[in-house]
Amino acid sequence: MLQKLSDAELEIMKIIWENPGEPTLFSYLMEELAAQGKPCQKNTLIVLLSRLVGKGYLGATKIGRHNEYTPLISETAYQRAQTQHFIDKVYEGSVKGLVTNLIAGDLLTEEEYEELRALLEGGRKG
Amino acid sequence: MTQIFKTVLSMSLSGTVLIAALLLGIRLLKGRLGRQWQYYIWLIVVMRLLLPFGPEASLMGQAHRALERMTVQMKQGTQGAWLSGEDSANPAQGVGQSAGESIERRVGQNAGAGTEWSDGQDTGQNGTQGTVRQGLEAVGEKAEEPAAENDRMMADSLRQADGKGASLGTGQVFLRAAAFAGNYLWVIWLTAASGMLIRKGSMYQSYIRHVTAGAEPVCDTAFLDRLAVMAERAGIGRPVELCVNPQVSSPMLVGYFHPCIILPDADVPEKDFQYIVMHELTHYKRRDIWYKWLVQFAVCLHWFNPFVHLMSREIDRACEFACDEAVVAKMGYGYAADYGKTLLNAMAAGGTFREPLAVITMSANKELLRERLGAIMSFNKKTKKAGMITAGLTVGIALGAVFIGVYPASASEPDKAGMFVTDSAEGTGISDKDKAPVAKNISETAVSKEAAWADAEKYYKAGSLPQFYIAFGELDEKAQEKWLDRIYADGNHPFFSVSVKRLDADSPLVQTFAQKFYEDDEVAFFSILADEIMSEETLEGWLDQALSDQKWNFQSMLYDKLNRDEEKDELDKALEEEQREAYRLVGVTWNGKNCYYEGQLVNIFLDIHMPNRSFYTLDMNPAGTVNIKIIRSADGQITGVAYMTEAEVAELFGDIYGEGGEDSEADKTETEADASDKEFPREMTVVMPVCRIREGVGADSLVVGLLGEGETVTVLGKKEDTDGQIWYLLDQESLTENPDPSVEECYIRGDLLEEK
Repeated sequence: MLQKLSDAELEIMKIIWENPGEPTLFSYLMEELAAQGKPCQKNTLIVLLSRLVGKGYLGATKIGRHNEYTPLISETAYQRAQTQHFIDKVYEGSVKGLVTNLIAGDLLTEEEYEELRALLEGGRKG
Repeated sequence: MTQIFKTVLSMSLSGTVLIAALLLGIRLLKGRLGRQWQYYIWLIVVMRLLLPFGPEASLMGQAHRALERMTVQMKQGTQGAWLSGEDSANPAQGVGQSAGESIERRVGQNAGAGTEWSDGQDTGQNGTQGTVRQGLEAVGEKAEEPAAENDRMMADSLRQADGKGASLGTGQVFLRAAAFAGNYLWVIWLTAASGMLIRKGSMYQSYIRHVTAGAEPVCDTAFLDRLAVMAERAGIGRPVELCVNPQVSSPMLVGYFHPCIILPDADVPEKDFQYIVMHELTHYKRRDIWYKWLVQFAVCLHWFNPFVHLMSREIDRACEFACDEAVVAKMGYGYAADYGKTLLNAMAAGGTFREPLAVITMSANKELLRERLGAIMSFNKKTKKAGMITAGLTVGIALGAVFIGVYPASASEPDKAGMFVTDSAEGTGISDKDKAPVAKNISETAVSKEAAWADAEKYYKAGSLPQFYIAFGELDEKAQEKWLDRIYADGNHPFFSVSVKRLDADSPLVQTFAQKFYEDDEVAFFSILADEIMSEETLEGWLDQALSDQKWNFQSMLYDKLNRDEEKDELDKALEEEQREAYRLVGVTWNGKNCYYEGQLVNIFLDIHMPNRSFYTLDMNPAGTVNIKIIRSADGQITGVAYMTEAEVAELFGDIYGEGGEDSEADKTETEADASDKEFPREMTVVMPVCRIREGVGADSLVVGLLGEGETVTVLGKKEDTDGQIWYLLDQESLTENPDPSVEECYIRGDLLEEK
């Protein structure tokens, strides 16, 4: 069971997940946050990163005086865990309930619907 | 092991001397020593208590030798006492008695028993005086007995006690029992010391675990950013974590290498947050936790020494004072009052955990907090003289620490610490030095009271309410009464209001002043007492009195304070009816809200009921055309009506703004006066194109120079001339063109300068 992330922590994880050139450097994070219009203080970022390391989301390697961060949990794994949590909490474990709601609530485009159907059928066959 | 124990004992004794000297020094020079110094100076003492090093020619060494000589001489004298038939074959009892004995006597016992206590043997070997020999002869046979044969000795003691029953036998028994106990005292010491150390350590650890386990990290990046800014300001390089645990009683910082601030509540105003964080970071920056553990270690090692415990408490206090001072210095002295408020809030927040020792909290102790608030308000930069005194005392303590030294095999024992001055330090000069301050110390309370009076005077004149509040609390009851009288005479409501906050509800002063105000019909002052301090029962009592005396104004005010609105409304209505009836008699009629006089609608209606203006009726109707006032005779009877002159109207409004009970207004003028009184010298800018500099003040002063718009000058003070015009005294050095050197003081009109 993965630990929950706060909004700010998730923000950082997203940057790290999307960073093409792994591992992620501290300075890169600072720049990205500033670029996204969410600049923060150095100490704040350090604290948040060390919390992420503590929660097992990130691995940190000390290179010289700087840390390099690598994600230990992939974005997909996080999403899956969060979805599972969400389904358990809101739909009491019923995936069907979620899908019904997605379809009935008109939250899926035609295209997405077809794709999902193909996925479902493919899964059933395999 | 015995050797180590003895070293500890001697360190304890020399530490005690230092602690006592330092405590006295601090008491005597209170207020003149820097708070930082008062904190860090203890480090020397702690080191003295922990490090067993010192020069050969140390005081302890000398004291020890002096003690030996004394011992041997004393022994003869005390022998008689031992022979008096005290029967103690029980070693445990022996320990107890030994603990109660004086140093000399005990050392004498050791010598007599001839155990491995080295000094005893030394005495025997070195002693050349007759008394020594006599002493040794008297206990000759015992001196030969080896210490190892404790059992045999015990048996021997018993046998002697039983068999001989003679006086000499009992003496021997006692001596041996004491010696036996003395040999194993270190076991008790070591057990207790290590036990305490382990207990403190584990208590702290489990507490920290408990606190951190229940702590939620703060996710709001705004808080974290603020923390980061403060950490940078405090000069802390390490990342600081921020958590919330509603169970802690006040903000605290835990962790040696990974600092973490734990707040009881994240919902703190930004300002409070800043101060709290700064306080905790300052503790961290100064490594206060390490210092505290060092002290705790010393306490464990010297657990038997009450002075060391006293020192520990003193250091805890000094730690907070020093930290507060550092914070105030960093944030700016102007923020002292704000910081004090934050401390109070932190106290009020309150959780359920009890902190064990060595936890750095923001405000764990109420008594200390009170003192800290006082100190915060009075922090200021130190004078040169204070610096000299401080430096002198530092050198003194440091030298003391080195030269009192440790005598590794000293037989002195610190739980007799109370006697150290007269016993061990005799002839060393220390005792004289310490005794003098004791005498001075007695008169100190009187001195501090005078100081409090002077403070009160200063703050009263400066119009500083919070500082006066603190100073007033330091005064004794008599002085407080005098002050209240004075404030009352001055009609100073704000000051009266802060002062009574420091009184007890059942204080006789409250009763006295309530009576006085009641008799003087001073509703306003009475209502301050009612608001600030009187209990409901007291108010009800006064209400009954007012009802029977038919004092309407008091009735109305008391109904109001007691929240008896209906009765108040009723009374007000009845009063109004009665008043209007009285007004009608002199020709003023009312129609609903409108008031008429001689057929005209009244604009301003004023009725001053009391000559001292504490109770008046003022009614204003913008549609009205005439201003009237009710004229009353000296005893308050309505005698007629008059139109008000324009001057009277102007005065009326000036009056209302000046003192009409509008506290905010009154406060404002006071702070303004405060600012213009206090902050000299200060830089000001000339705001008019051509301004004259004059020698002297007033209309007939001489013009000695000119200043142009935008020039900056240094103002050294101010003066008021006979017309009430303010003049600023200029620093001639700050003028671009110096006036004639013969000019002693030059001024500029106050309205020509503005704050830079």
